[in-house]
Amino acid sequence: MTEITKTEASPLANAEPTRGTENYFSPLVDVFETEHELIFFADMPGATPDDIQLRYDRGELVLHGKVKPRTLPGQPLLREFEVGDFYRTFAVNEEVDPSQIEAEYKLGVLKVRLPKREEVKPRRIAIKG
Amino acid sequence: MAMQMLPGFSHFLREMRRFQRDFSRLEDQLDRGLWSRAAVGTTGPLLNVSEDAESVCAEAELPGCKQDQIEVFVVGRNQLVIKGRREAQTMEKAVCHRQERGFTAFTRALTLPADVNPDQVEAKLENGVLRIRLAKSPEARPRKIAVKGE
Repeated sequence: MTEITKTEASPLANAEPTRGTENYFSPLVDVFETEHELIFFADMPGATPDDIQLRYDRGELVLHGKVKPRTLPGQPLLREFEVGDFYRTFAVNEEVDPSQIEAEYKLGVLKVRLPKREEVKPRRIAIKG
Repeated sequence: MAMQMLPGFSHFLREMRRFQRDFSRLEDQLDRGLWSRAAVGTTGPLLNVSEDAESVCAEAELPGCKQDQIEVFVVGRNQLVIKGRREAQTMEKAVCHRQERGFTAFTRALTLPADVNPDQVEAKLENGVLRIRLAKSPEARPRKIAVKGE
């Protein structure tokens, strides 16, 4: 049970007012790999699809979610988290096809699919009897 | 600052402050996880809460939770309970390289700073952010008293 005491402001409430260009949060990410693709799931709540910039350049995947500042009305009583942009990069070793990368943003979660190039997909070799 | 200081010392202080700031920022980043913060002493999403004259507002980040996976209750007149769950991400025939996102059921209970009207509570889920607005009960609202003149 969390009790709110009105007089005491939590230390987070005094956090730096600056944000945006330098204050990034690192989203939590799950990464899966199947035969055909790599799939990333990143928690980026509070953004919109338009606010998300996704870049893939020579093996580096960059997730950047701009989150508009939101404030609750009135006087803050409890501040356990801060709102800011999300940013994280990944080195992707698998040979992916950049033109086939797809992403969707739903319920605050970014899902990125990076299909592998045809030539690196495992191939089943038929064995002649 | 009123006190005069040696230039070297004020530089040192500034550097120390910057270090402190960087460190606390790092700490904030570590705390960012949905179910990870030990300081709160509960499992459950982190909350921001504010109040104005008419209402109390609470906000939580619940990425990946569908609307029907979240329940909001008002218990009595001054307790807010948020319950929910997030389903684990499972993939057929896939290797998991990294799993940082948590998947558990959670409950977060909060004693509100004022009595609220349980019939006037709105909760909205948008892009993984849950926002709850609880109207204060009429007795809990500040009342402006007219000051009589002479």
